[in-house]
Amino acid sequence: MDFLSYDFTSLFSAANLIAIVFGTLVGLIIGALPGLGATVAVVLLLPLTYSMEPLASILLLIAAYQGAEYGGSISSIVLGIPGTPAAVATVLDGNAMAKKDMAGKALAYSLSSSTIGGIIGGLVLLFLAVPLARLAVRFSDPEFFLIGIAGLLAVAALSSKSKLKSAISVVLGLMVGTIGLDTFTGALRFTFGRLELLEGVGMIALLTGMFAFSEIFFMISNDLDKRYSAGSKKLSTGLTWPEFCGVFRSTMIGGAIGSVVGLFPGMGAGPASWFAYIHAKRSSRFPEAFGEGNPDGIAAPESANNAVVGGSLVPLLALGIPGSPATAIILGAFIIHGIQPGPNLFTNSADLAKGLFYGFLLTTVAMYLAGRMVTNLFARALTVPNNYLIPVVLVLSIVGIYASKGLYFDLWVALGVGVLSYFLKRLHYSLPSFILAFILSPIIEESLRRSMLLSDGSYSIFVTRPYALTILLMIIAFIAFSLWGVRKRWLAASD
Amino acid sequence: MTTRHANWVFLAGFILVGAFYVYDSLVVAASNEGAGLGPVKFPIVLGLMLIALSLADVFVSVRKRDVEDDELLEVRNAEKLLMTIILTGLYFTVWSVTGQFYPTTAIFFFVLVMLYQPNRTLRTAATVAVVSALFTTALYLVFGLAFSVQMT
Repeated sequence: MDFLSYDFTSLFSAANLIAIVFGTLVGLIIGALPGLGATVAVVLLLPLTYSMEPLASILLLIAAYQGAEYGGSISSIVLGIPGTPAAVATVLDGNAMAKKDMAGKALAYSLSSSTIGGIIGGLVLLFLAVPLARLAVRFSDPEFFLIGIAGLLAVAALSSKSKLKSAISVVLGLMVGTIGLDTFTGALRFTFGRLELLEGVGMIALLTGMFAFSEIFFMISNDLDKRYSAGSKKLSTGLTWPEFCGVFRSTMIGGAIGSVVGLFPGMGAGPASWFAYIHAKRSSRFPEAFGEGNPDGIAAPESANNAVVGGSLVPLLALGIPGSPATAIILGAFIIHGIQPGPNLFTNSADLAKGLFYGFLLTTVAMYLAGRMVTNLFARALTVPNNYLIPVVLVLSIVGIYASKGLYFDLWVALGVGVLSYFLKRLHYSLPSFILAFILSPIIEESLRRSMLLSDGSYSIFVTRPYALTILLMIIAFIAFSLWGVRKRWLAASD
Repeated sequence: MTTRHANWVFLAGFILVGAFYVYDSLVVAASNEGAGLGPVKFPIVLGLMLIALSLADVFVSVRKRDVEDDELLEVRNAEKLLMTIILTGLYFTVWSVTGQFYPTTAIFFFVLVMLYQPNRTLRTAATVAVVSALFTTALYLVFGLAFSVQMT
């Protein structure tokens, strides 16, 4: 795919620019509100995409995703309460700096490093998605089955406090993914005679119930009467050149860590920001200054959590496999427009793919400009009381669910899933593991069954094909590495 | 109920779900014999895995002595949480029966905000009523008019 042969005027159309600006602003404000993260921001915007052009609709969601990752740092810094899980690491130095009456400066570090991180993620997307897609074109069912299994292993191993609970979440997700009409035989599986379940459980209903409804229930339970105070001083988000140069190294390293972490399903922005923070602290000449308002402690995690966005879009666009709940919703937007992300996206919809690559960089620029202009205003928005915020988010989530398929049944599914997810989350089951397994379920089952048909039921198909064998060896190495880690921890504990 | 006991309740539920899932797969298998793996082998493996993993977690949970697991699973604002769930269900029912999204939403929004108010006075009710009307109008302008999203 030739990147330069692209009609940029189509990217700079009014519809695309409005989508980017609107998505950025909504992402910033949702990200800034404590408790609501990037996934909720993308869910809330989804209903707007149904009547939009595909490129504008995907850019709207990507802009919201980017904006929310930066927005999360606003409440981390100003209030000391992380707006998103990915902004938890930012609290340590960001809020410490704010307490020294330098909230504006802390936000400036966050904004500039988020922007650089976003650009690094965008470049990773630009230069990695196409080679990966070219490779993936040579893949067939055995390889896709093994990629699915690798994704599940990564998800199960890397999330949740308990690996066992994470594994249960994965199996539950896979099971829910099998509901509906079996495309091979036409058999109805677990539909209970409901026509609404013929195509399976609605992804938007499931995602919204799991991430928006359960979050709302958490807010009612924990923060209903909370009213935050952001102070009254004007916050300037400008950095001087020496200040920018001072955090350049940690910003770049954070960006590199974030974009690599984003490539792996299930890890996401939260772990990436911690990895970056820990690396910045370890490699600093003044590690004791971390937690006291060190600019590197803001720049590294903020750069990482925005770089994750670009990284997580690589497997989505190249393989059709989302790496995070937010990208799973973006996958939903693709499907709504009749487009299947994956290796063929670059040949069947080359203009859309190029538009997304360049548009992604544009969303990063928009985030920076919006951040410079409205951070001050959004810091004030944090004072919106939860007793108004909760009904607003609930109603917008409901609109999103109903608008996706026009089914009342989906509303009940979301409500049930929301209640269940609230308790599952409290008992430390992993919701991201569940949802990624749900999405991978049909990919894994269908590619396994097709592989078996191709090989007349012989499992040797997974070791006789070079690509499949390579992926299989990588899976074995990953399992061996994980078991080695468990053994090491067990030995350390018994000592 | 402690976190440990609540987890056991969920694990018991998972075991039942796994057993039903395997049973239903066998029922489907009786009437559908597909080529290759067929429509039920994958679900049966998953059902058995769920049962095995749940039993393993019960075993781990019985042996583990974490203080955190013995803490009470407290649901703060339980009344308001329960009311929210009931009201949301009621809202879905009224909306699906009447087909009137915007008026139903205005009432639902008003009731929810009033439910969450620490002090319910006539003045607060008037303010919330105005906010509800404005919010519903904004919904109509954005979704109904600008984006032509059909809500009935």
